[in-house]
Amino acid sequence: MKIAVHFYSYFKDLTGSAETIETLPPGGTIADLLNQLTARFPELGAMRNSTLVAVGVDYQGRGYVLKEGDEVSLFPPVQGG
Amino acid sequence: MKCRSSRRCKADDRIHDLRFAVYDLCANVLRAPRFTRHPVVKRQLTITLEPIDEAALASKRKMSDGMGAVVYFAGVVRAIEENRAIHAIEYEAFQPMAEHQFNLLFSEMEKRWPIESVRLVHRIGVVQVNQPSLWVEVVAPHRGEAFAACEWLIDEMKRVVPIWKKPFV
Repeated sequence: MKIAVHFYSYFKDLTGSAETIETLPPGGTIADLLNQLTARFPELGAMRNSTLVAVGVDYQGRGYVLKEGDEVSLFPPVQGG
Repeated sequence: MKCRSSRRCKADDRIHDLRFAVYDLCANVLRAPRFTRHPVVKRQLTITLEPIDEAALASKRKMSDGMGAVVYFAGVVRAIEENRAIHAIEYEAFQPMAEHQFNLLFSEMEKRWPIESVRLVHRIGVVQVNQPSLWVEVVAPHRGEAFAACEWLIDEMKRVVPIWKKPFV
């Protein structure tokens, strides 16, 4: 299945892009997605533990099972205000 | 720190999820509501590229007769950020998610405090030093709940609302 991934804040600089498409096997989780992304973008690996992940507009944990068409967003800790 | 093995990655991911769950527990249980009223709170949320006009916002304030407290807070861009002199901060938002997360927080405020209204304006784009980047107003019957709700909202915003800043030196 294909998963659209969007990067925000300095994750765009680390990856050199604002978005990408990853292909995962059915039943793949956010943890699986992070494994693929850190292999492709090693700079993200250093941020793995503090990376926040949303599917659509809601936060999800690493065990969340993704489905075709999910829009995943990855970003560093937020800093509003 | 990079994961040194698949097992280590899985352990880190479980720890991450657990830490997130514990933080939510602390935020939602230990800071329990002191009131159980569920009024319909008037909400106004603006995420904007335009400067925040505090006088215009104040002039549009509406309060019913039973309200005795207005607390408002303005967050202003400092000239020093992480020990460096700066001249501005650029704010970036994942706007649909920011709006959704703000509305979840407003809904939680309804459950926790008997407030009448909340208005919040957050700048995006470049904000110069000494200019406000955030303006929050809470109207409630008494100062206690107004202060508590306003502070809680700002604390939670800094935890969950996807807005980031980039200082310009």
